[in-house]
Amino acid sequence: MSGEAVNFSTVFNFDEDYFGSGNTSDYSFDDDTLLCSLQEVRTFSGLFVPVAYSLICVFGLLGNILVVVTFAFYKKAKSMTDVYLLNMAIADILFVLTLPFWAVSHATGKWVFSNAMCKLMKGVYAVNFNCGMLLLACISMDRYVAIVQATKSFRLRSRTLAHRGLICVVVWAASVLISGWTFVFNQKYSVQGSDVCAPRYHERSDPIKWKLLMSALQLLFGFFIPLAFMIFCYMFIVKTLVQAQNSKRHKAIRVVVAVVLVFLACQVPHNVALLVTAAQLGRMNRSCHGQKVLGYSTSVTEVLAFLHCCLNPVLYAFIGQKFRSYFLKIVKDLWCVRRRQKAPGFSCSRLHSETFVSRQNSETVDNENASSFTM
Amino acid sequence: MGSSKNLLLAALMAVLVFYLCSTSEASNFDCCLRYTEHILHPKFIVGFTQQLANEACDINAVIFYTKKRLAVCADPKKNWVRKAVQILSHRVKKM
Repeated sequence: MSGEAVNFSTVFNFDEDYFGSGNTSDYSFDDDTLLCSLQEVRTFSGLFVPVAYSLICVFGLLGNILVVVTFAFYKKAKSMTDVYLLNMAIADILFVLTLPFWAVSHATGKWVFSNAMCKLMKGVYAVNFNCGMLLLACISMDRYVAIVQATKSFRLRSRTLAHRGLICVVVWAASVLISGWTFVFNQKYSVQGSDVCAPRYHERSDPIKWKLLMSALQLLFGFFIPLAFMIFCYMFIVKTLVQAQNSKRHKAIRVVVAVVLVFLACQVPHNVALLVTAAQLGRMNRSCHGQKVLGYSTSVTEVLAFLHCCLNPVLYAFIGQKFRSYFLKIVKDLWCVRRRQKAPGFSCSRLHSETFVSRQNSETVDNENASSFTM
Repeated sequence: MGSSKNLLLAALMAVLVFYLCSTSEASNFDCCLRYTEHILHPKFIVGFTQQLANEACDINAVIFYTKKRLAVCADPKKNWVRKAVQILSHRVKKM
């Protein structure tokens, strides 16, 4: 042991004189060269994020489960938009189911679950968040084909609809396959003595480049691609609607504007925060104060972005008259079941509601093109 | 018509091929942002940890914990930092 020590000292010549007499221990350290502690941000997000995520989780589950139940028991998915809506509801349900884990992680300030859970939660979260975004782009494209290209769209739409199973399988399989990256890079490890669940890249490869690539892809597929699709499609849709002689066109335009505005309101702040984070990656001129501000704004804007998946059922499904009537029917049926349990002998007029819905259907059959707008 | 369906599928596939995603869940880690200009004498240092650029923070750094309970960020490429790390590791070994 002592031999090793001697060898060590001769090789590295580490006499402490190298550091000078060193009587001055009280350098006035510039605050930004000290470890930047984000404890105050963690304290804030430890309270705010769990509450916000719980609310998003509850309302997201409620709305999206209602959409799935409606499609499962009351309404057959007739158009491609219906198929996308159903898939989006499922993606949103899976997404909000991961939020309790992140809420616990924020509340405790560390990742208390296993490494496998870290990979699974990050994976499910990434796949479904971006899958939802992709489906928003798909919906705007389907509406564009239905309304702007209405004359030539009939055969195209029926063919796409015939392959809806395949398209869905492609969407889900590819997203699971390709989000393999999140499964690979995310892991549980210790930073400054506490366990975290975050991506860790290979040491040899340039980690900043990897982080930039991942941020760029997230910005691209989580924001810019759906935004581009929505702007292009809805611009032409509004143009067509303005020219159309349809009594419902004003409502349709309002729906389009609401869809785009809600998307922007929810997603722009979060993506600006992501963009600023990406722009500062690896820079040496950052201040600790700036990092704190960025930390607060990331927590808040992320909640806003996730709120989007609670609003999707309202904006896309329940804004439609048909969907609303099915929704009322579900509420009524649930109420009837409860009443029947409480008071046997009480009968709800199920027949009445059946005929009500079928009449609604026959009314809207001729209007199928417009109903892809679920109005 | 068949071609437009193929076009749609191709567009969908193209979107999905680049569909690498890694959403960054808000992560408020304590990180070193810059390096100190001063040389710290090892006798004032009680311990150190490493910050790796491939993990949660994005620059490589050595964090020295001083007797005054400050966490000072140092450039791992500087000679004095390497030496201080060696001395501190040696000190740990001896214990």
